[in-house]
Amino acid sequence: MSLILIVEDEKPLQDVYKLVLHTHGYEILTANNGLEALDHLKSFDPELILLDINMPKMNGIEFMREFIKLKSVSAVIVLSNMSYSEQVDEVMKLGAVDNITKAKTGPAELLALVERHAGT
Amino acid sequence: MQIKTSPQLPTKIKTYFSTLTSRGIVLSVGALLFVGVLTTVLQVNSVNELKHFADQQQSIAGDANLLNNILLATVDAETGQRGYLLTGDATYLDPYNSALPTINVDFKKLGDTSQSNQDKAAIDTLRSTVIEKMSELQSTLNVMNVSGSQAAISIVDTDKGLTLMNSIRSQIRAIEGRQNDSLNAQRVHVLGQISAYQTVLVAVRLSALAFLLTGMYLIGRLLYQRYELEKNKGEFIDIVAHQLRTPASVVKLQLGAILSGYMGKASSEQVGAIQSAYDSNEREIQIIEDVLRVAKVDNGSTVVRVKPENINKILNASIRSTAPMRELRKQNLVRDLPKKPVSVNLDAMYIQMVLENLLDNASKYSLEKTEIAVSLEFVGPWALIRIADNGVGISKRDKLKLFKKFSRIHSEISDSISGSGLGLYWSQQIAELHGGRITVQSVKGEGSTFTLVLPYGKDL
Repeated sequence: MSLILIVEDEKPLQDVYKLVLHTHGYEILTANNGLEALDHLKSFDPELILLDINMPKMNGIEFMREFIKLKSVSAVIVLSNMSYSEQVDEVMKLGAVDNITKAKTGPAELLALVERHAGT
Repeated sequence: MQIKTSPQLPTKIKTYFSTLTSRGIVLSVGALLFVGVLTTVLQVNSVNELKHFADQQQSIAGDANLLNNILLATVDAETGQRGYLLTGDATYLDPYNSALPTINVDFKKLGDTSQSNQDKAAIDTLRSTVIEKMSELQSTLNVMNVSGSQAAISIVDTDKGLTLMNSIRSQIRAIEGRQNDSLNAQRVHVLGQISAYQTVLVAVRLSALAFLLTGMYLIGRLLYQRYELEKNKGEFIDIVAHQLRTPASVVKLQLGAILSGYMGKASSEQVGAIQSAYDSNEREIQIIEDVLRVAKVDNGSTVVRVKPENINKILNASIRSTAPMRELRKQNLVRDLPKKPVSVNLDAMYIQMVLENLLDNASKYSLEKTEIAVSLEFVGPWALIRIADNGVGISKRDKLKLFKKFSRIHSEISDSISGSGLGLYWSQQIAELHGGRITVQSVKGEGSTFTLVLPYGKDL
């Protein structure tokens, strides 16, 4: 069963992502910011990381800079508020495999995206 | 690939600066013309004053010369008369004989040139005295001719002739003295006037300099204020858009999860209410998206990456993604596209968004069961993508505001359609960033044809 790490500071979003993906058989880890996510990566090796950009303490870009040093095999999908921005571009250049705009993503779109990048 | 961004803050400031400069140039030209005209008037006045003074000086010098001639002629006449009285030689009378005509001519000239009434009166008095002197000389000559030289010389020995001659000299001196006094007064007046003109000129030039410096300071201050305003506006819109999007995204996901059954089975009434809330939220998200897109294009952060793309593929993708709305409205789409792939320099993502916007509008502003036609044509260096509908059409007056922000065209159909009124404005900006534009042909009540014109096969 695939393990997914959700890095998102908006608790309601985090909860729904978790609900939808858990319903479809994924194991879920959650982090409220980049620092917590890095902490999880010391103990776990998730298949997929759903990464928000604007977060307190350590944002998505700062997390990616640290993440690439770990040489992890986890695939990163960016969750952003903007479809096209310099921040999204930067995270994609740092190695994220895909990105989605939160405002355009319902449960079905989320599930389709995750299934594209991770097995069940 | 070529990258072109929407006009950024420095460009906008430059545009603003250009506007300010244009206004400044108009004001400066006006100010320079004013200073120029004033300077010219003052200088012309100075020259006129000097010319008048020079004319007067010349006139006085001429008068002095004439007065001197009159005095010399009178003295010569008297001397000649004395010589004749002493010797009886008539040739001595030549100066006497020629004196009167000469004196008359000189007095006439003096009368013509004399300026003041006082001068005229003094010259008339002088003329009377000179004539009296000449009469005195003539009387003595008459005595000589009748009674001989001794009788005539005894008349000369009286001081009548001397008194008249002294009177003539003193009158001439008085006239010359008065004229010199007048000239001196005129000199003082002219120098005073020129000095006043110079003072005014200096004041005008200093004022012009102060005007220029003040203008430069004001322009600089306005530019700085504009810069701050534009910068703050951009940041403000970004923050507001972000803050609006986050809760809207949460609502979308939560309502979507309920509608998809992740939170248990809802009753049909609940599903209806939640679906309605979901749709409202979707419209809100769309408006936030539109506002943010326009803010980005206005703020200079829209980056267009242009490279050769298959335009057929982009058109078909746009048609596909907008199909659900047409299907809902039972509208038919016909396409007239080249069979072979055609490459056009463009940013696929942005042009697809523009085409989707135009296709959405064509569907939204047309009745059900109507037809929408999409065609692609190449005319000279331009690729023309036409999207034609049989919808409500646009009046001539509405066409003028069609591509402006927040413009909504009112009609029976459009009044029931939600939208931000920003889609066409944004699409036009994107077309222009590609070096193209969007044009519209429409007849109210008959339909509209929107044409996206893009440079074909040439670099931006």
